[in-house]
Amino acid sequence: MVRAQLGDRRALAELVGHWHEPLWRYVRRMTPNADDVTQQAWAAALGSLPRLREPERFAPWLFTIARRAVMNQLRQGYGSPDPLESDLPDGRDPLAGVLDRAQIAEGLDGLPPPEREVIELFHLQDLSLQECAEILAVPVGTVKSRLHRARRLLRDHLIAKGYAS
Amino acid sequence: MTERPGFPPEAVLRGLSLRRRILLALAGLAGGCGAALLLLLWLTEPDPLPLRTRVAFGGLVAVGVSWAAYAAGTLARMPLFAADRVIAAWLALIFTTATTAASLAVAITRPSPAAGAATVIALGTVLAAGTLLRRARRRRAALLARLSPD
Repeated sequence: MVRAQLGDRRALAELVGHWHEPLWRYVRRMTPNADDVTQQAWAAALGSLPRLREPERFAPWLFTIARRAVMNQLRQGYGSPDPLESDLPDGRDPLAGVLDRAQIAEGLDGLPPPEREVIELFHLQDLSLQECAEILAVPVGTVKSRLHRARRLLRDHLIAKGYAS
Repeated sequence: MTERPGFPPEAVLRGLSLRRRILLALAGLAGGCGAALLLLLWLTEPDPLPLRTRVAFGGLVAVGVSWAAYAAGTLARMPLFAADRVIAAWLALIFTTATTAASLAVAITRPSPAAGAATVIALGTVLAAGTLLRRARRRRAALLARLSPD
């Protein structure tokens, strides 16, 4: 990361190669126009990369930029402000550790964008609650409640598709 | 989800080679400094220039300014990493020093308020380039220190 900031092209290529697919997958979950939005996100991220003060916080920083690109895209598409606002009460999580990645990925398409996004970041990108909160610009408690609701919706969705609970 | 990105990671870095960015910086600096010197020569001409010469000077100044604007606009959208900044600042220092020397020569051979003002402005750009170079070197040193904390 620091090597990339110094201008080492090989390190930069490695960095982009490592995050290329995860970033694209996240964007793909949120918008069908994933290639364009991912390229916009990369252009913005690389432009600001030399000024990134905390290289160890690269992942949440990158996903925040990608999320902004997704939001711009959605705003242009629908003319609506922020479709990702929903707060629900906290609660325990009956599904944690039960579903594997493939099952989660399969069921995600049936979820509303806010829930799809939080599952993608927390479960599929393995980001921490704190990092998810940073990217989504909401408190950690909201991330937890969204996760709770998302898991419940996902469970219902998967059960409806024939998976045993 | 078995879909894949429609472009390879290499596409992200296409067009960002160091060579291209240095060439852009060179073109911009040469265009900007060249245009400034031409303008200075034009303004300090003791006698009014013939129309054709004025048109030619005006055209050359416009070309230089366009190159400087194009390079600045393109470089602003590209990442400038620590090493790139050091190189760009050195180039800027060399070009601004040469421009200052040239405007000083003009000010000595054709003393006028315009030539004096141009020399002062050129000196200011040298100072700015020096400051940028110092900052770029400091940032690079900080990153290098982070790389090898021992």
